[in-house]
Amino acid sequence: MPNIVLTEAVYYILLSLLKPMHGYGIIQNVSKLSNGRVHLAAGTLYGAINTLLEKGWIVALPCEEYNRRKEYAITDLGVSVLKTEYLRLNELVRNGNMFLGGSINE
Amino acid sequence: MNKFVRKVFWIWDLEKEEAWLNKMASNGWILVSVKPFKYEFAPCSPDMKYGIKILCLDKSVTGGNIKNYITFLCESGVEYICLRGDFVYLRKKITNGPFEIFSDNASKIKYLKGFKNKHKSMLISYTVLLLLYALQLILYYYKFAIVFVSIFFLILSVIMLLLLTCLIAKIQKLNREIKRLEKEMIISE
Repeated sequence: MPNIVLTEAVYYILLSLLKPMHGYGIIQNVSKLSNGRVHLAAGTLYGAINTLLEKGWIVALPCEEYNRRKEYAITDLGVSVLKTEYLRLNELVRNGNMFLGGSINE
Repeated sequence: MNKFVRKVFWIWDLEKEEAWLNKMASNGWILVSVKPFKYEFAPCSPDMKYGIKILCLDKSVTGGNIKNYITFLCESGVEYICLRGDFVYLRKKITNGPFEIFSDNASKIKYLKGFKNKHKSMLISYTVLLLLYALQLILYYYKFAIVFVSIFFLILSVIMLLLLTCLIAKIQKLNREIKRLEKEMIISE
């Protein structure tokens, strides 16, 4: 997997889509995951979803009759990108800990 | 009872139009429809806070499918008001933070570039019109010596020149905003 640095929005979108979700669900989930820090705006999410669909990192699930909202789910490729990013973020945190560890209180 | 207000905004006054619509909303009048030079507002309770946005629907933003784009926005908590040409009027109840369509610099830049291209294509058509009017002016004045018609084309040319100046100023403003965001992106998302 090539070393791709994800944006915060894409990282949280992929993380959310480990469970199939529609657009509004993603916005709410990202806000919940980040304790209200990250507010994904609808236009930004639309652009991100289209790019992720093109890249094959997520798929649109077939719509059910009673639920017209389109749902999305992460693909195997998306999961491997997410894992690579997770390792990269871990490296950042490990190095941060080495230099700042103990001196920062959340 | 709904209120109708007549007002004219040019394409380069979009921010002013948006600011005015937001001011109306904070004064308890929420936009419900837009007709040529006419805005319709419905009263809303003062504790109901709304934000209004006017969005230029460029292909770079919608991916070429306006219907899909608007449907997606509506499913994400945004309310659709109306479509006027390439512009969509949207509103959203303000719960936490202002109403934004784009939340990161990359998507803001992409939108602004599309918006700038819209101005550029207008610039081209306005320039063509200006040249045509100027040509007519020269023709009627020097060749046919019909002063009345020449004055008519002179007025049209001056109007086109003024419109072009406004468009160029707006393009420059958009360029500065894009550059500012791109500079920010060097150190943050």
